Amino acid sequence: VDATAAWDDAQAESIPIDAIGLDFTEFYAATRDQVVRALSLTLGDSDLAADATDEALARAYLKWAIVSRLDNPGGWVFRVGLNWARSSLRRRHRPARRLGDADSLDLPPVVEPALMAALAGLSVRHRSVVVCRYLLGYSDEETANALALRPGTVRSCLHRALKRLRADLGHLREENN
Amino acid sequence: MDPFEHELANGLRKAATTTNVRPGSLAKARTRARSLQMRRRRGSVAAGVLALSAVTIGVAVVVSDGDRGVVEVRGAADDSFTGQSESQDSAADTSTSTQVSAPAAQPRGGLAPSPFTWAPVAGGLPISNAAPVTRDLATGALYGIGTQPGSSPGAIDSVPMKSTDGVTWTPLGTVANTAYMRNLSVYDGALYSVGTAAITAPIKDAEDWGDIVTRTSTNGTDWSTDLLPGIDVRAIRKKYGAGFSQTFDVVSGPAGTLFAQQVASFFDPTRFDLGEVDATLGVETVDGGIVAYGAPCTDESAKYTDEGMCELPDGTIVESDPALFRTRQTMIPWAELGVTDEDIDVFTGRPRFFLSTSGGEFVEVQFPTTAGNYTESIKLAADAEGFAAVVKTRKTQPNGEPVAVDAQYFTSADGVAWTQGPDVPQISWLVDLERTAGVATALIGRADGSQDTVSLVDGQWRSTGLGDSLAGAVAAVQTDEEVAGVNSIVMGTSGVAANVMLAVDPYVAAEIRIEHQNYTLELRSESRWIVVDVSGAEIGSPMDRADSTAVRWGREGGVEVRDESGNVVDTFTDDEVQAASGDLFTEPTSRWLLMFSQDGGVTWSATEIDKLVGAPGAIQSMIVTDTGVVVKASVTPTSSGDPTDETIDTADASAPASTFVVFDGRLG
Repeated sequence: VDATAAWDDAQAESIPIDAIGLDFTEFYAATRDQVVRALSLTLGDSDLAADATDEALARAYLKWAIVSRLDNPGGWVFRVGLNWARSSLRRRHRPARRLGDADSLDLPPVVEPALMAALAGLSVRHRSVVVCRYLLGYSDEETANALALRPGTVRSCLHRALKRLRADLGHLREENN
Repeated sequence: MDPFEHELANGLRKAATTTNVRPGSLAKARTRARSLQMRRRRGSVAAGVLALSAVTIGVAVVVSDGDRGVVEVRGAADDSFTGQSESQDSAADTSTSTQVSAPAAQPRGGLAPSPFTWAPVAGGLPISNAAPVTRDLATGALYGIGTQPGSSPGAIDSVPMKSTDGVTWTPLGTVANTAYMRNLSVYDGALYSVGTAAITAPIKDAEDWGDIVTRTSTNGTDWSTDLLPGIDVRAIRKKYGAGFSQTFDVVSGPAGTLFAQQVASFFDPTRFDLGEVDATLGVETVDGGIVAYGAPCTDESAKYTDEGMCELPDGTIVESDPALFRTRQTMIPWAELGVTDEDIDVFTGRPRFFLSTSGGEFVEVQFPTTAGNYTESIKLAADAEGFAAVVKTRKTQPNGEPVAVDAQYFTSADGVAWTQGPDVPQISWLVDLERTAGVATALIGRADGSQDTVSLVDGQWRSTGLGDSLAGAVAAVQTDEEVAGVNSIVMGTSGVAANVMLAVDPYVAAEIRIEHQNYTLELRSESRWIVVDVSGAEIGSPMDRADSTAVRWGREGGVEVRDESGNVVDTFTDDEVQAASGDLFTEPTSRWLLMFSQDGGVTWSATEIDKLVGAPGAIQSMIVTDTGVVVKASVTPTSSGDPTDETIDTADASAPASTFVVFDGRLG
């Protein structure tokens, strides 16, 4: 695929969606699993996370001319996926699974169970902020943009979440020290 | 990061990398996107054609017997076919595009044999799909835009190109550091292109990121580049958090060159003081201000929690309003938001027009105020009498409900003083506008997903009737399960080409029904649940906002049917729904057709792309030339090369990527 196709991606607002080529392909390859993992930790449901990510990426594909110009298109996919998943749960009248539930993420024993239990104690919003900040490596501002929150709200959420996590994971801190 | 945060990040990374991630598929993402798009345009019988005077010629239909060219289509071509099939009549009955008066004499939907001899074009096409090919009416030459990597990382150069046959393209020089060059206009030996400069583009002394116009009057030897005045997307982004510049159209004629664009942004509620108004679920720009969507809690003093519940001031947690999760809406006028007129222009995407006369600098011209509260698209045309413009806007009432707005038509002899003409009714989207000898013709999309052409005759916009004609021809090719959509239409001197996709809606194909004694729950297209009674009459859908009493999501899950007194008379449980629906999303099957008419849309040939390219393929672009049509198609590889074989998952690194092929279809 040549540079023509790559730049067609960004100009695709009024052309058939199949005309979109290289840029989205690269974005998909770089983003998809990362967002699935981030949403899995946020939602506690890897199947729902995969569905939500696929839905968000399909929407990104349709709006690629706009999404590709965003500062953080991966953050956009994360937010759309998160919103879609929560809407889906609301439509079904089901709460998000709690991390640590038997049918939640099937994690190998290398992952500290207390960490998952501590994360499970957070609200979805707090968990999404923690995931954006510490897993995806976003700054406060990038997290705010990705989640459509005020930066101040992000800092507030982060403060509360960390306070809770520090309390729940105190034994880990002592061991590390 | 302190040590704890560091450990937290490490723990999250470990958990993330060891999470079992279901494999993804780029092909499925694209299919899902296509399905989304299809659902938005669902249920339509394809319709649409361009009936400009240049194409309406009675050219004899020739059957090619070339050994590499003739492509069979399902539903063998029959010269006597008139398109009056039962399914077609049914489609015509339900069409919503018939209120514009149509000439009665137009025959409907004849299917003609393929007139093409096809030959592959080695090396592909160097021009971009995104920039439409422009034709110089004086010389017949075609112009398009190619791109190449720029001199610095991330930079892109545009390469305007010229062709006489649509197959061989000659570069006309390089225009450096352009990011989104997409529109071309040619007149009297001068070629104009407009687009957006790269943010780093060293254009004049400006550091702005805005729209640029480039021009050459030396057939590509020398190019000049100007930044349009008063457009600074970077400043917009800084002020509003987001912003974009959109080129609508550019045309050239005896009166000069006219360019229409907009600079717009989204209303970010976090940047304005909404007071106590709850905007938990977002805001929308409406007529006269914004509407903030609050949490679906019946008690307005309640807070909406992350778990989808409502927390009352005393800490009591209650369910959010189960009546379809209706949200609170609060309209806030612009005046109460403290925004400036400049802000409003940005949020409503006010169209801006720039004019250059005699090859001079572009200057902004004042354009009449348009209806609606957001400009969606503008198409321009130019002829000896001056300029014409159609402006499509959308309008959302203060209660958040959209209201239909006719597109507005304007004319100007000099591009400066504009006069409003009759509105163009029933447009869902605007595709193209032409004007020849003062007669304007617009290619438009209708609300039902069809396309049509309308001409301004005797002060009234009239359908040419050719949309029905294409619908009839497509109906003769599609199966009962398929829905059709016209993706694009291109006209030229030899005929009119339409890019049509036929697909089976997976939700319809699934035929999911849960039958109870008195009621049945059905899954319809667009993943829409409908409850019908024993007579088949629709009782309602839990997804309808309008009627929340008859059918709605149950408090304990599932779907409830209620009588007039509100008593639950039947319940379809979650378990029933899940058992019936299983994995709702299945891959839709689709195929693409090139429909072509040589006689102004009376009869159409249908070329199935899968059979043309020998593998599952989709039309990327079409160029109608003097001798026929040039088609660029993407080809999804299969494991055996057999087009009926299972498509290879292109997310699999070992699988070859999609490729592009180009075919030159010659008439006769």
